[in-house]
Amino acid sequence: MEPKTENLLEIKELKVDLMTVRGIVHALNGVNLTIRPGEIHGLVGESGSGKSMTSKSIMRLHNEQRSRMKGEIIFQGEDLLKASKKKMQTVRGKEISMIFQDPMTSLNPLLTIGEQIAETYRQHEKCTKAEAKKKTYEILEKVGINPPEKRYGQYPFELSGGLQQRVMIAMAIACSPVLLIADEPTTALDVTIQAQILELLQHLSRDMGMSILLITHNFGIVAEICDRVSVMYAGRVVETCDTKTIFRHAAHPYSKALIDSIPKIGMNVEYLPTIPGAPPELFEENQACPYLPRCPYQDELCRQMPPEQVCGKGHTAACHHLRSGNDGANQEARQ
Amino acid sequence: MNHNENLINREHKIIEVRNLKKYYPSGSKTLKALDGVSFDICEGEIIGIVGESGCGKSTLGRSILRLFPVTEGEIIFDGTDISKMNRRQLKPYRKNMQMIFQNPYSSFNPKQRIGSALTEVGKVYGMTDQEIQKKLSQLLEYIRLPEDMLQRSPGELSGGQLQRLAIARALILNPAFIVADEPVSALDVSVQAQILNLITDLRKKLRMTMLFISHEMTVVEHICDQVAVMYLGKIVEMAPTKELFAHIRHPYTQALMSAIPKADPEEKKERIILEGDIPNAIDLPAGCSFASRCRYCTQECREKTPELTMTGSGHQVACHHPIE
Repeated sequence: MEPKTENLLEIKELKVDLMTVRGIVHALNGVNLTIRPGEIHGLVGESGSGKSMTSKSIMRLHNEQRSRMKGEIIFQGEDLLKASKKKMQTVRGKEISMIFQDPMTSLNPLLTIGEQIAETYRQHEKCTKAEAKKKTYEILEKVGINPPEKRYGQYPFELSGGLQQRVMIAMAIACSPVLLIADEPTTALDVTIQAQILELLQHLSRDMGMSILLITHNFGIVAEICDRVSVMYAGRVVETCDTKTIFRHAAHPYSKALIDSIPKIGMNVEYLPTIPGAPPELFEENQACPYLPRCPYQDELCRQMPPEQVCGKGHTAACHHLRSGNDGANQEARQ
Repeated sequence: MNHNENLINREHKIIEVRNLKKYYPSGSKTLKALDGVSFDICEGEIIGIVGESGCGKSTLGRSILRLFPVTEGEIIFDGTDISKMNRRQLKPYRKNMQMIFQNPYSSFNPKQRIGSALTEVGKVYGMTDQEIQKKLSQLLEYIRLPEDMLQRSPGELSGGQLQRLAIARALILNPAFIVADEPVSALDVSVQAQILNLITDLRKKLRMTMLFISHEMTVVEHICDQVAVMYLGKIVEMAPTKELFAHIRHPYTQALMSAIPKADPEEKKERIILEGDIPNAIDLPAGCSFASRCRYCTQECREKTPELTMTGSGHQVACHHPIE
């Protein structure tokens, strides 16, 4: 077994139900996720698998009247689901902060970018205007927005998408949070700009010892910068392991199939491997494995929800038939 | 890739683009969205256009379809120059050129049932109900969707299903040429693979000729026979797919390739991270448009614009210092 490490964040059996006009959606169905201090943790999955729902739950951003949450989210020893609203306000932005996919819709078009960043300091650190301005210059420089004195007075529309995302990052890291949740931070950007932003995130994480929960649907990004990764499917985490392992010895059939369906340069095949069918609708509480209808290894056992099993060092997967074909390493670890 | 050489008729050019330009006035200046683009598309061929946002790839697709007037240059469709035709003259050609868009949700009317959206295309071009029905059932079989899809409305379907139907809609009139503008960019990887396989399938059955626009190198490499890389309104490199990816010659293509995050943590290559953003397409300085971000840039690059020149094995590159 792996040595016990102090986890920064621990999500245990998180369930989230949402009330919608079409009925109750079981958006999260028992999510288990741990984030270690200083790591970049990738959270991957297809649309609707619950990636963003998980991150919103950590920040408690759901409409409380229309959702039901069960489970625990332990952050630095305290359960955030039980925390008071006031406590959550100090957590948000100061200890955990978040950046989103589309920087243009997250920034206020009527305020200069400097004013928006300075507001964070005024709110959380009770700085005077002058102090806040000074700190804003520093943080702008840190995220590579130069020269800060000129940029301070610019409005979001004057900046390119890449620079806007840098502003978002500056705002998010202003109070040196211990956890940054980045929800598809580069999806709206071009590849060359994406490379710049990823490098910045990696640098900041190392520099500040900040953990990052990086939500993405792109396995390439995971391979580039993540230390560990969790794969989500139908509101559950189906596999967690370190980045190398997922690409070489994925244990869950879904993770394996998902990675195989990415076109790669020099692959030279006529048809790409695909996953038949579509993800299930989440209106009914699933008793069986949610991947069952699409899985090539299905049998009677799969009619019961598979528990999360340890299948290697720091490697867990929720499947009755952990793939054993090409992963001798995992078998050894189980023995 | 080269599985499809037998599907291409090199003798018959469907599209010839010659020195195509599209300028937009911007105050007292001009934005050069397309600045002298030339290439051919043979029957049965899929040509890929890659580049970052704002490089002119969508403008190129739409110009060829003549969705708007072009500033200069020729677009020869099956032997006829359509670049200066007016609306009425264009009508018979429209039927032969179709388009598939990025977002399947916005390319269907949410209040119109799928069946009606698909038959409408045939009706506009005077197909009889019988012909339309026959064609539709054939296409539904090709895209592997049941007939009862036609009774549904777009909101009930998934992105992958809708994109299949958008492809079917583009094929109803048996077009000679299709422009697919980022057809898989809005889809999840597993669905993306399904749609790419469908395109591979259809090109075999129907010998489709296609201009495939994408910002993703991996997708283009998988599906296209030839690839053109665009930067600020110009083609900077163009070659048969295999040749291009084996011997990248333009520094921009090289940087673009190295910026793609590879889904393989053990393949650590030297990454070239480009400084800064794409320059503003209004009022570009003289010389090579990539000069400001290029690591091989010399005085010559800042003064003289490099021309797209053939360098053997069908490989064209526009650079003063191509990579050997």
